[in-house]
Amino acid sequence: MRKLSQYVVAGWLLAPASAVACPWCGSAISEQVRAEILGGDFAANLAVAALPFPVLLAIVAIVYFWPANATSRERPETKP
Amino acid sequence: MTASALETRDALANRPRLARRPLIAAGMVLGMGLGGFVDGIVAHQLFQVHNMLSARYPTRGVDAETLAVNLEVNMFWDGLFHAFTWVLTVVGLFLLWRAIRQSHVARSGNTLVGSMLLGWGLFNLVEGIINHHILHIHHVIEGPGHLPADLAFLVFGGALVGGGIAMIWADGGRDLEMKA
Repeated sequence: MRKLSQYVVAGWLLAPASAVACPWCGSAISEQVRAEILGGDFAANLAVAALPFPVLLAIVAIVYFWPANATSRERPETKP
Repeated sequence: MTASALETRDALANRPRLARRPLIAAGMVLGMGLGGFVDGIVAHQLFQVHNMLSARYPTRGVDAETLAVNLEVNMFWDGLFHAFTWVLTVVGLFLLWRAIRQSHVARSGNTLVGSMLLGWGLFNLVEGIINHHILHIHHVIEGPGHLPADLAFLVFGGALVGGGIAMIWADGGRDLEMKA
């Protein structure tokens, strides 16, 4: 038990020395990360990251709604 | 020809025609979503050859602090990319569920798999052309001399499109309908 508490204290003392890099925690790097993500380029980055997806859905919509008689042709039935 | 053979032939000729279009659309969307996951999992995470915005926020040739920031930023946009592919996959599953519950829709495994390959290939072509060649937000293998890998990605996408169309075609020809 005593050893465990020593580990906890040691970990607590060493924790500030380790790097913390996540967008939403309070480290100095995290503030940079947040600034880069949510800065002035956010809308532009969002637009370019999302752009292929509406294009892909538009292609599917074209396939789905293309007039049936433009692609579907009845096969001629053979006479007996 | 016997009367029963004639009846069989007439019955076969008069089978109702089943729509393939809902199945093809569902398979395409499903293939796009799963193809996006392949890109994200294999290229972004397993091999780490690029990230969503790795041409804007490079992760090579930078100091440790910039690397930490850029990795985090790319991780955010990779997450958003995976969110979009997840939505596509869910939409594809919804369309597939709706399609197979309709009695007039064909339930063909070959058409479904062909449509998924077609969707995956279209994903590679559209994502490759827009992100790699027009917007340059990332390249398949980031760094100088990225063109061969970018072109190989497009060729792979084209091959998937060709294979998918061939499977759909083999299953019912040019018609978007097939016999029951």
